Formats: sequence, C-alpha cells, structure tokens
Amino acid sequence: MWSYIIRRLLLAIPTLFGVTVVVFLIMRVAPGDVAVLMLGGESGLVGTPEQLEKLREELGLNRPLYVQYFDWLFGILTLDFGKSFFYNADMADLLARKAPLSLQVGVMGLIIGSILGISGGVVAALKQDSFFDYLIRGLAILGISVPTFWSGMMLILIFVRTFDWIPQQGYTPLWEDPLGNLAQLIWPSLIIGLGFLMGVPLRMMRATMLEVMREDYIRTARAKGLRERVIIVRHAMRNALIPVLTLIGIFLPITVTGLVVTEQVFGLPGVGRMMVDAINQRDYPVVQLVVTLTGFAVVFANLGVDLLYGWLDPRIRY
Amino acid sequence: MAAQTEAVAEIIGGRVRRNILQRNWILWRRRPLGLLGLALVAFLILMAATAPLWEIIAANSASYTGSQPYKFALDGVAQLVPPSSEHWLGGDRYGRDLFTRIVFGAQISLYVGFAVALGAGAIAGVLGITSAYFGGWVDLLGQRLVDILQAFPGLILAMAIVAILQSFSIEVTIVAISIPALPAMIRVVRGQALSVTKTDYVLAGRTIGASHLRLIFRYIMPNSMAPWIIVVTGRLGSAITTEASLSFLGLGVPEPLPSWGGMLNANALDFAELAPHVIIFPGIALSMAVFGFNVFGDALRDVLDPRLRGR
Repeated sequence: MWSYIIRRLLLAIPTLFGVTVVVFLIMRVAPGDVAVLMLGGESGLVGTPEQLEKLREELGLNRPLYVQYFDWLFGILTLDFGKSFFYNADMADLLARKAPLSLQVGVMGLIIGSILGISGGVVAALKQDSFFDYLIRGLAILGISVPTFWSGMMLILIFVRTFDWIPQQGYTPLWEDPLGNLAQLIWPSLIIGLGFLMGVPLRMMRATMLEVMREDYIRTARAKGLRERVIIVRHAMRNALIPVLTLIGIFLPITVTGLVVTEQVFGLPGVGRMMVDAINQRDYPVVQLVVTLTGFAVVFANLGVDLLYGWLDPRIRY
Repeated sequence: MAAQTEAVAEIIGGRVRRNILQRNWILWRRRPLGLLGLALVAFLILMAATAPLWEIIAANSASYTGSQPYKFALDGVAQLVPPSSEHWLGGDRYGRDLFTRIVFGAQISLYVGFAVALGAGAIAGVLGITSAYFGGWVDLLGQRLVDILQAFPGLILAMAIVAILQSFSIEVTIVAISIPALPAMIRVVRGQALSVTKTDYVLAGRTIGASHLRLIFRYIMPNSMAPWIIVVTGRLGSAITTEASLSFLGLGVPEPLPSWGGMLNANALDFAELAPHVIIFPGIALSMAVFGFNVFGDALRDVLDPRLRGR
C-alpha cells in the first residue's frame, strides 16, 4: 500500500509541473505582449513607450522567458503569488479574502448534490421502471441539461416575484453571522448541487445499484433472511458506492465551473467573480494564478480519488 | 457487430437518420427519451434554417419598416414589453424583438456546437489515432500533455484563452471551447485505436505490405469510428452550454449577435421584476437544446455501444 501511495504521489509531480508550464505558455503566446494588452490592447489606448517600458519592468517582462518562469514558479512554491494590478493588493491576501466564500458554496453544493444524487439513484434502482424511476431520472437529465446560471436566475426571479426578495450583495463570513451566512449561501449552493453534482452521481448510482442487486451475495443475504433494509444499506449500497466515488475526480472541475457562473448570478464576491473581473480588467497575474490553482486542485483531487479507490478496492494497483 | 459497423459506415456516408432508425429501430423504439432528443435536435435545426423566414414574418406582424435587419432593430416603444401579438415573446431591454432573436440564437448555438464537436473531434481523431499507431515517445509525451490539459476545468481554460486573445467573436469562442474539449476526446479515440492496432486483421494488413496510410485509413479508422461518433455527439450539448456560459459572462459571442447566453447576461436580472420574459424564454430555448442533444447523445451511445446499454 505504501509503495502505491508513494508511487502515485511521485507521478503527480510532473503533472503539477506541466500545469505551471502550460499556464505560463498560454499567458505568453498572447499576440503582442501582456503589457500592451494590459494598457488597453486593441482599443487603441496603448500607453506611451515609457509607460509600456515601466509596466514591463514591473511585471519583469524584459527578462529572459525562463527566468520569468522560474521566478513565478518559485513564487507559487513559496506562496508568494505576486500582486494584482486591478485590486492593487497582494494576491495571497486577495485569495484569503475570496476563497472561503467559494469553498463554502462549493462544499455545500457538493454535499447537497451527493446526498440527493446517491439517495435518488438508490430509489430509482429499487423502483426500476416505475413512475418514480422515470421521474427521478428525468430530473437528473434536466439537472445536467439546464445551465446553472439560468436555474439560478429563475430561482431569483421566483423569489423576487413571490417574496419580494433580492439576493444580498456582498457576504458575511460564516464565523461572523452563521445564520445570515447560511440563509444567503444556501441558494447558490442548492443551484450548484441540483445540476451536474446531483445528476451525474444519480445516474451512476442507479446503474451500479442495478448491477449489484443482481449479484449472488445479495441473493445469499436474502436467503439468510436478512431484512431488506440491511441488505440494501449494508450489502448493496456499500458496493455500489465504490465506482461512484471515482466521480469525485470530475466533481471538482464541475464545481469550479458552477461557481464561476453562480457567483456572477448571485453577486457573490468569490474567486470565480474575481477571475471574471480580472479578465475584464486585463489583470493577467490574477488570471494566471486562478487557472494554475484550479489546475493544481484538480490534480490533487484525482490523486485523492486514486488513493481512496486503492484503499476501498484492494484489487486495484497500478 | 457487422450490422453495427455497417450502420456506422453509413453514418459517415451522411445518411444518418434514416439508416440508424431503420437498422436500429428496435433499439431506438425502446428509447423514447432518445427519440424525443432527436425530435428536439431536428426542431432546432429547422428553426435555425428557417430563421430568416421567421424574421420576415415577425417583422410584418410588428409592421416594421426600418432598414436594419429586424433581429438587430431597436425600437424604443418595444423596450421590455410583455409578449403580445406584435412581439410574440416580448421585447428585450433595447426594444428588439425577442422571438426573432431567439430563433436566430439557434443558428449561433448550432454553429458553435457543431464547429466545436466536429472541429475538435477531427483534430482529436487524427492525434488520437497517430498517437496510438506510432506509439513510442510521441505517444508518451502526447499522453502527458493530455493529462495536463485535462487538469483544467473546461470553462476556466476557455476563459483564459479568451482573456489572452482579447477579442470577442464567434470564432474565438469556438477556439476557446475546442481546446479544452480535446484531451477527453483524444483519450477515447486513442484507447480504441490502440486496441484496434493490436488486432489480427491489422497484423494481416501489415503482413501483406499495406502502407502506414492505408493501415490507418482503411483498417484502423473505420473500426475506431463508433466511439468517435459517441464522443462527438456527447460534446454537442456541453459545447452549447459552455458557449452560453461564456456569453453570459460577457466573454463569448458579443452583442448585438443574438446568443442565448448573451441574452441572459447578469444585467438581465435587473429587469426580472419588470420583464421576466427576458429571462424565461432564452433560457427555455437553451435548456431544450442542451437537453435534446444530451438525451439524443445518450441514446446513440446506448445503440452504438452495447456494453453500456442500460446505464
């Protein structure tokens, strides 16, 4: 087991390294250079040569490419992310301010989605081909198909029309006003949770549950006279859950995508909103950092899934 | 398998619907949802194709006489008006006819969807098959790159590409969505091509001295087609969603082009109380399109890949 863990960890390092190289290259293949883009780009508002030179100096763009890269990489490794131009603040501080909100909404969405998805999948499988089965599956496909931002807007629309409620701008951290915080963030979390995060595990859970319920050991459990509840929860669900867990790996990118649009709809000042603002303000250091960190997060999530899988199912070794 | 390969071959020949339906009619008949999806997709294509016609009809019913194309025509009186006999789905915030714009929106969604799915699909097909066929360090390096690209959530990578290109157009949007779509497609094609490359008939082809090109085009490609079709169809819905998300964020198809996502951009909520139709109708169109492509793709996957049947 330990050698597996260590091997898997070592394998992740080149990927993480590759993520930084790819992001760095993408941000550098810009037509023209970043300094020109930041000072107005195509709009014709390009600054004077002196201004450009000054900005290049500040961004370190006049150094050789590899020096820039290693400098940036070293910064990331030491959590020194550099400065945002638009916000005029250290990016580490910015992240510390914005990340808790996004993390909270993301985690709450994940919990809502997983609970609904897994239980919905089990019910649909047990009542296969019944009205409930079709209803639940229909809801799952609907969740996958309806864009998150539109369901968010519809939720707000309904609330505005019936309760005269408008989403509160800004945000109070959980530790300052737990109730107020939850009352505000439960809606975006619900919207994220009811989309892909519910639909994908639901369909997977239903499929594996159907398979498992036909296994011999379920028949054995029945023959032993176990109660149906015990059979379903302890024998069937436990086994059916294993493949569903691998989905965690694809959950993270989906959640990040959901956060970007949902924060925009609900006016929440999180990391996704920061990324959109940064693109509009041509604040490239922020864009570069957010893309890198989401890449890292996904690599780590996949690593976690592999390790978890190896632990849950001892047959799996790479 | 033979019938399946034949059906696939005919899909490539271009006579898609009739032959799939005929040959796999028994399979399709048991998938009412898939047929519903097919109907929605057909409806969408029809809508996009007849958009100019509807523009004329809608312009007439509002007795529009201006010189601008009706889909762009601003009319102060029609600002945010609710649906009526003049403006069937009401007016948007600039007083443009929402019905006309939604009908034209189908063109944009379909264009982006098919361009991404087929464009990225073609590139992924070439890269996946060559990577599997030639193997060696090219394959190894390519697969590492695929791993790395797959670490980025699609929308985030697309946003970064838009940010760096700093121009907004349908074409930029297509490129921005296509690049993140590549890795998953390459993976599937490569996996299939890899197993085909190891079959006896490819070995036989090699023995009788078939060239690389012949082996790739006549032996490997036709037999790698089914998964390719599945991933390409599966990509249509997500490409349309991503386009809508980008346009919603103001980073995709620019105004005044009638993109469904753009119609829903965040400011649309400001008019929620006054004019809910501005939010409701583009969203319904968008959701129906994505739903149609998704359930059609699911059913097609079931029919083409018997191993996944019932999942």
